This record gives sequence, C-alpha cells and structure tokens, in this order.
Amino acid sequence: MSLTARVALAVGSLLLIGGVVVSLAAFAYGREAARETYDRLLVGAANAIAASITIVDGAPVVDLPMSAFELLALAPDDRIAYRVVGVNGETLTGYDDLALPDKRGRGDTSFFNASFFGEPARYAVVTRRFAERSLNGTVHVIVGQTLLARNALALDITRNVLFGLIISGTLLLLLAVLVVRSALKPLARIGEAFARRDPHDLTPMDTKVPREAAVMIQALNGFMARLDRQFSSMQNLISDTAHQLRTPVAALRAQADLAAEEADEDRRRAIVERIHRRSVSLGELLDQMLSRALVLHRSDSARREVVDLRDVALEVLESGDLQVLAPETDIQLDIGDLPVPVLADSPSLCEAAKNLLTNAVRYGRGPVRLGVSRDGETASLWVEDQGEGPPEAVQNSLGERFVRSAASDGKSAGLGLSIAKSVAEAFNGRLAFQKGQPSGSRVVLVFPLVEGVS
Amino acid sequence: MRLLLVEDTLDVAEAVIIRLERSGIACDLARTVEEARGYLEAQPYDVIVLDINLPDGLGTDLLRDMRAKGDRTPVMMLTAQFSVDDRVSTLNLGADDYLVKPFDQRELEARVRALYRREQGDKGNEITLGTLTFNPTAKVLRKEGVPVTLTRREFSLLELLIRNRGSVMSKDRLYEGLFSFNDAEVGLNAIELYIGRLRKKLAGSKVHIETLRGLGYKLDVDA
Amino acid sequence: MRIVRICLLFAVAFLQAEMLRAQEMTHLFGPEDAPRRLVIRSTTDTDVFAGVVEAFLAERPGVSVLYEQWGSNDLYGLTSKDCRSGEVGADVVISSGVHQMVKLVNDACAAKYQSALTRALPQALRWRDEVWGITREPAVIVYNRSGVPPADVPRTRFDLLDLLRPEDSPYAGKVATYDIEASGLGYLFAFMDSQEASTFGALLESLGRTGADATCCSAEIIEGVATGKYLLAYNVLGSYAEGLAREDDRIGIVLPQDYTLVLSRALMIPKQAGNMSDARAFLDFLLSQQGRTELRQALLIAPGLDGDSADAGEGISETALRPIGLSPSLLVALDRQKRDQFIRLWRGAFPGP
Repeated sequence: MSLTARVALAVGSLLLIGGVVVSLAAFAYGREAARETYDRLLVGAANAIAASITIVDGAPVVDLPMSAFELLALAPDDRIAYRVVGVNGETLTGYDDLALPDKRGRGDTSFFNASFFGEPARYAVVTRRFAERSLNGTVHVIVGQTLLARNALALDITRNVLFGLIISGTLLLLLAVLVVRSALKPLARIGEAFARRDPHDLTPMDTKVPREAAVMIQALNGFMARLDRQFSSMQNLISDTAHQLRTPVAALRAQADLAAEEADEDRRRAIVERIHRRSVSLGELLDQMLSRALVLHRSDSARREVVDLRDVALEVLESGDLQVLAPETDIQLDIGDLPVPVLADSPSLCEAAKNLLTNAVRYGRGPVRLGVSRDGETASLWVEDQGEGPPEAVQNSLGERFVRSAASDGKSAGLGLSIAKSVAEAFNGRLAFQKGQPSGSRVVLVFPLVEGVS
Repeated sequence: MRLLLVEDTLDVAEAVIIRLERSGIACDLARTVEEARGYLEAQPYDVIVLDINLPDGLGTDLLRDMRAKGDRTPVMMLTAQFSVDDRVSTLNLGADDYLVKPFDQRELEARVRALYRREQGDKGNEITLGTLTFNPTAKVLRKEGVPVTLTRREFSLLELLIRNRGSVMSKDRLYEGLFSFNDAEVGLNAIELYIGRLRKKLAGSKVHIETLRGLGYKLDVDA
Repeated sequence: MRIVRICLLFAVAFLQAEMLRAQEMTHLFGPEDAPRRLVIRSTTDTDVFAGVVEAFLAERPGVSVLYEQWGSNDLYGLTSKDCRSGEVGADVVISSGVHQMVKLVNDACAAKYQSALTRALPQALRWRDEVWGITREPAVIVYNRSGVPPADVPRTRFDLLDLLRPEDSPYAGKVATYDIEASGLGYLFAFMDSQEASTFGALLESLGRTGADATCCSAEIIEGVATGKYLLAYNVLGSYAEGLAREDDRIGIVLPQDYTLVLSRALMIPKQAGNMSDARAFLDFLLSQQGRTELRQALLIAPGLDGDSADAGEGISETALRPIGLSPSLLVALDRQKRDQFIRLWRGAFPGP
C-alpha cells in the first residue's frame, strides 16, 4: 500500500471514529439545546399564565394571556396542553385530564414528560402561591407541548454539525493526501535521480533534501562510498595481481623453458630447484595478496568488537603455518596477565600479525618474539627479531599500494607490511618501527586501548 | 594404506600420487564425483582426499552423501577457497581436516598419515565425557561426532585437564605440562588464554572448565 | 321535586329543539346511488356552497356529497363528541369558527394530509397539516344606503364611534352585530377585535350605551339592514353581505380601514372519517385553481383578498388586513374562563334577550 493511501486510510478512519463520536455528541448536544430552548418557552408561557391569575370574589380567575400562547406558537406545529389547578386540586381551566406528576422537583418550576392525546409531550409546571384573606394556597400551572419542534431543532443542530463535519473531514482528507503527496515528492525525485544515474557513478548524492530523506540519502551515500572503496580496492587488487603475478610466472616459464632444453643433469636440477623456490614464493605471494584483499574488505564491512590482542597473538602462534614455514625457528610469546582490549576485527588483526611474524621468521634473524603490551592509552602487538628490520626504502614506501621489489625478487616483505599498515589504519591504529629490547628491531601495531574493559 | 584422491587437476593429482606412492600409500585417482562414487562402491578406503570444485559437482556434496549414508571414512578436503568461514563450514559438513591450495606436499602426507593414525588409533583409550569423545592416541577430539580442531598445545592442555578432571590444576602445573615443547616459549600468562580458547571450542558440550581464582582450573562434566 | 322535574322536562324539550334547529339543512348532491359518498358538515349556507360542491362532483360521477349545514357551536360540539366516541360522522368539516377547529386539531381529532396544494398555502393558513384555511372573507360594516347619508358612512371604527357619540345620535338602537353566545363566528370576531385594538372597549361601551342589537345570524342582520330595521351592522361576514348587496342596492358595505379582520374558513378531515380519499380530493379541489375560482364566484374568496393580487377590495391597504391565522394561540379564545370573562364583559354591553 502506498504511503498516501496509508495516511489517507489512517486519517480517514480517524475522522470516521471522530465523526461518530462527534455525531453522537452533536446529537446529545442538539437534544439538550432543543430541550433547554423549548423548556424555556414552556416556562415563559406558564409564568405568563401564572401571572395572569387574579383573585375575584375569593376564587382564582385565569385571564389567559394571548402572549403566552403566541410564545408557545413559536413551535408552530406543536399542540399545546395546559391546565390551571386550583388550591384544592380542581381544574380552573384547560384540559381536565392533565395530571400533575406524583414526583416533582423542588422549587417553583419543574418539568415532566407525558403523552398528550397519544403524542409524546413535555410539560412544565409552575406554581404560584396566594396568601390573601380570601384565598390561601398554591395554584399550579401546567403547560405542555408536543415534541415536533424540539426534535426538529435537535435534528437540525445535529445535521448542521454533521454537515460541517463532513465538509471539514473531506477537506482534511484532501489536505492530508496533498500534504503526503508533497511530502513524498522528494522521494520520487531521489528515485528518479537514482534511475538516471550511470551504473558506475558512485559519487555521493545531493543531500539537499528534507531531513527525513537526508538520513536515507546519507546512509545511501555511506553505502556507495563503501561500495566505491571496495570497488576500487578490487580494481587495485586486479591490477596488482596482474602485475605481481606476471613477473614470477614469466620467470617460471623462462626457467621451465630452460630446463626443457638443458642437457646437463646437474644444471637442470639447479634450474628445477629454482623453479620450485619460485613457485613456493608465488603461492605465498598469492596468499598475501588475497589476505590483503580480505583485510581491506573486512576492515570496511566487518563489525568491530572488543578483541584481546593476547588472543590474537596466540591465534597467530597456534595457526600452525609457521611450523611448516620454518620449523627450526624459535618463537617466543611475550604476553602479560592483563587483557589488552582494542576495538577491531579479529581475523583482520590475525592476518596483519601473521604477516609481520612471517616476515620476521623469513627475513629476520632468530630468536623471534611475538608480544603484546599495554602502555597507558595504547595497546601494542609487536614482532621482534635480531635482524636489522625492513630496509629504509621499504619502510618509506609502505604507503604505496604494492612494493615492486616484492614481485621482482620473489620476496614480499613489503606487501606483508603494507597489509599490516592497512589493518592498523583501518582500526584507528598505526604501524611503527622500533628498536628491539634489548637489541634487534621491532615492528609494532599500535592501537588505542579500549577503556573500561577488563 | 589405501587412499582415494578425488582431484580433476591432473598436474596436482599426478604429483600427489607419485609422492604418496613413493612413501608406500596406494592411491586411486577419481577425476569426477561420479567416478569417485564408483570407486567408493567398489572398495573401502582408509583415507579420502577430496577436492571441492569438480567438473560434475561439488566435493562437499559427495561428502554430505557419504556422511548421510553413515560412511565414516576420514576425509581431507582440498580447498582453493580462502575465507575463514569456508574452512569452518567444510569441517561442519563432516570433513576431518582440510588443506588450502597451494599446499606443501610434505604437509599433505603428514596430515594424511595423522588421519589414518587417528582412525586406526586404539579405541580402547577413548574417553567419553558428555557429548565429547577424546582419543589421546589418535589425538582427536570429537564433539557430537564432529571432529574439533585443536592445536597441539591445546590438545596437550585438554589432555592434562581431562586426565585430572574433577581436581584443581594450578597454572604452574599446567604450564609445566606444556613446557615439554621447546619450539616456542609461550609464558605462564598464555595458560589463561589457552583455557579461553578451549572453552570456546568446548562450548555446547557438557564439559566445562572452571576458574578458581588464585588456585587454578578444574574440568568437570555436567551432571 | 316536581318543579325540578318540570324544569328538566323543559330543558330536554329545549335541547331537542336546539338540535333540530342546529342541523338547519341537509342536501344531497350527485346521484343518490353513487358508490361513494362524501359527508360534509359545514357552517356555510348550502346554497352558497352548492356551486363549489357541484363543480367538485362534475368530474366525479361515482361520488355524491351529503352536505349538512350546521351552526358553528353545534358543529364544534358534534365533531368533538364524534372525536371522543370514535363514531364515524363527517368526512369533511368546514367551519367559520376557526378557533374551534384549532381546538379540535389540538385535541387530536384531525387526520394529517399533505399535498403540493396544501404545501402551497401560506403558513398562517395551515396548522400541523391537519387544518387548512380555504376562504378569504372580511369582517365588514354593512349600512343602509338610504338611511345613512354618504357623509356619515363610517370608514373606520373611529367613524362608527363618532356616529354613536352624540346623545341624540340617529343611530342609537339602529346598530346590529352578532350575538357572540349564539354565533361562534361572532364570538371569534369580537374576540379578535379585543386582541387587536383598544377601540374594542370604546366600541363595546358605545354599542351598549346606544342600545345596539345583538342577534344570531348573518342573514337576519343583513335583512334588518336592508329593511331599515338597522342602519348599521358591525362585523358582518363579508361574503354574505356581498351576496345580498349584489341583489339589493339598499345595502352598502364598508371594509374598515383601520383594520379589517379576514376570516379563512377552516377545513379539517376528522381522523375517523369514513371516506378519507374523497375528503382529501375535496380539499385539493378547493385549493386548486378551479376550486378557488368557484369559491371566488361564491364570494367566499373576497375580491382582492385571495393573495393573488395586491389590490385589496375597495382600496383597503394591505397592511390593514388582519387575517385570522390558524395558530394554536386561538386556543385562548376557547379557554373556558377566558370565554366566561369575555362573555361577561360583552353581556355588560348587550344584556341579551
């Protein structure tokens, strides 16, 4: 269902319920108003009649005033009942069979309902007390009228209210539809803008839209930015891969050609040995490149959680790859007894640490230490060996996407470092090179320590 | 030992077969899922090495069918897939181990032999705790029949705790138990982390490891 | 006891005579063996209404009309009695005693009816869709043309007062009006006068002082004026006067210019009417163009007073017309104490026979 229809339905049903309530109220009010109006008429007429009573020769005489009846005739089609009851309950004038009700309210004026010649009617009773030498007592004046005018007035009031209600309800409904339409216009515009967009255009949308829609646009822009980053990192990966794989494959092919033509058994064995080394390093290179892609992907998409760097270190140590890679290298784990929590993605950190450790094992000098430490506000995961550390050139070129040397000499220390650097930066950290303690060199991943987590 | 290699890349297959036969393992090669089914019907194997991507289907489907039929032959999956999730899911399907391509031939042989050993291992030594079965000879832990991958250190630690289950093991004693490994110096503090890793891997079984602050750890089976 | 019995006997005899006299005339219009019969009880003289009834019957061969002519008080009494007892009497009641008709409606004796023609009536000429005013008849002053010099002809009530004021007024004892006890119409006119203007008191005093005569019937009064028994007659129903004046040039007619009461004879259909459909048809006929033409010919709608033209008869201004509307306020006229007081007041001027 469209939003317009929803709002229209909601407003409509609201109006309907409100309408029913208001109608009932209007009807009640109409009846009340009509009752009051015409009761006043009755009382006015009854008072006029009561006022016309005089005492003549000790007997009350009613000089029925025309005005009283003209007042009642304001309800033009209603029949009039009246009776003046003397002090002894005798009828002075009027309809004899109009009975005074048994129960009457206190005071000089009261009302009751009864039928008049078979038609429902409303009556007012007004009393007048005489205290004269010749007459002492109460004279009651009963004036009644049928209900046609009352009902007509009540109906009229109700009808007027309902009429107003229907008009205003319809207007409100139309207004609601218009308002919703105009409120939703930006959505249609956004949709149109999207539809017109070039499929490769991932630039942010114009956020000059209503605030509510801006939230959506901002989310979309954020999404597109992520998509854009992933898209370009994918493109980078492809171009890196193309570059980095072509060189070793070319080398492999050249060596293989050579081996095929080489007659000398010793030299051929040497060539095969070189092919083997090359292919192993090619596999590692591939792993690293994929790992880098994974890291880039995860750093953008994975949910961040609190990770204990000590767990990361242990995971790397336990991953088993190192035993295969360099079973003879001695690796020491250096961790404290306090957790070192950081906000990051565990697999990404593992990849980064694994790369650092791999570099240290492969290119550094033993013994290798893998450690985790906390220092004030920062958390560090480091790898230390007794070598010189990565060459200055590699350290400086880490910002570049790939390091050419990795491909050309079959070694990929730079790529591993660049992965570690990407990971560090993805989680608000950095990659640092330090002197070893007490000697050697250290590569450190530094992250902000998460407060309040033990 | 009789091994079925299901692999469609002939170069890799040949290299693997030559290598394994040189060390005395009899190998059959199936290049499709269909062919593999034929071999499996014809005779039993001690170990199956199974590639995932095959010309007529997925190796994982074959694995699932085997397990569904109750065939418990150890299976080593070869995968070119990279992400962590994939590796875990192959284990959940009932594989006993996996290797990521490209792999080292020596590694493959070592793991195949481990699988074989595990299967031949003395079932008499097996310890069952809740939904766990722990086989120290074969060095295998299963949770509800599914193998749980443990590193050597984790395995040793668990073995120590299981053998002394019900009693408190101090950090120092556990550390000494692990100290026999001289390949890496992990430090006393790592014990706590290893316990954490074990707990995660044992989650869902009826076995739990309790920390007694200042005293050590105790492994217990829920009643 | 004996005396009481004799008195009772006399009373009964008198009542019977009254009843006989009350139903003055019965006339059957249309074929005697017509399948449908419409009973009309009316205060209007049969010969005045005959033309209207005949015109109604002209296109209704299957209908006959039994026309009963009644005095207004008797008609009211009879209709009221029928209403209480539920006895089927008249199908249509037409009376010049409109206050009595209003009372009958108030007492729930009438049947409701609505048609396009009844709805076209002005509001003052219908009440509750149960009673309708069908005629327009002014209350006029009638004079004897030979007895009253043109200069003396009263144009207003004040003129009349002036004529009666001198001690030796030639009009003393020569003025007639309705006996309001004998004539329902006379009572109504007098009562309306009393409500209408302060001249009523003075008029009553003058008439009383000069020994004016009060009698029962229109015909009698007008006949008296024609013969010179009376020189002036006050509050005479214009339709009768006009009818006689056309044949008798001794009679002059004046519509009082200070104000002229206009009576619309009221028609009602009793709720227990036996022939409701013809009664309704008759009402519609009276209100139709044709019916109004007939009424006009019968002088029951006075020229210029049918509301069709602004030209009021004899140059009387529209504002001087006082139609007696069909309103529940007419109930006052019938209030027993009011009536007693009013008659007592009136009797003060006209001691009666």
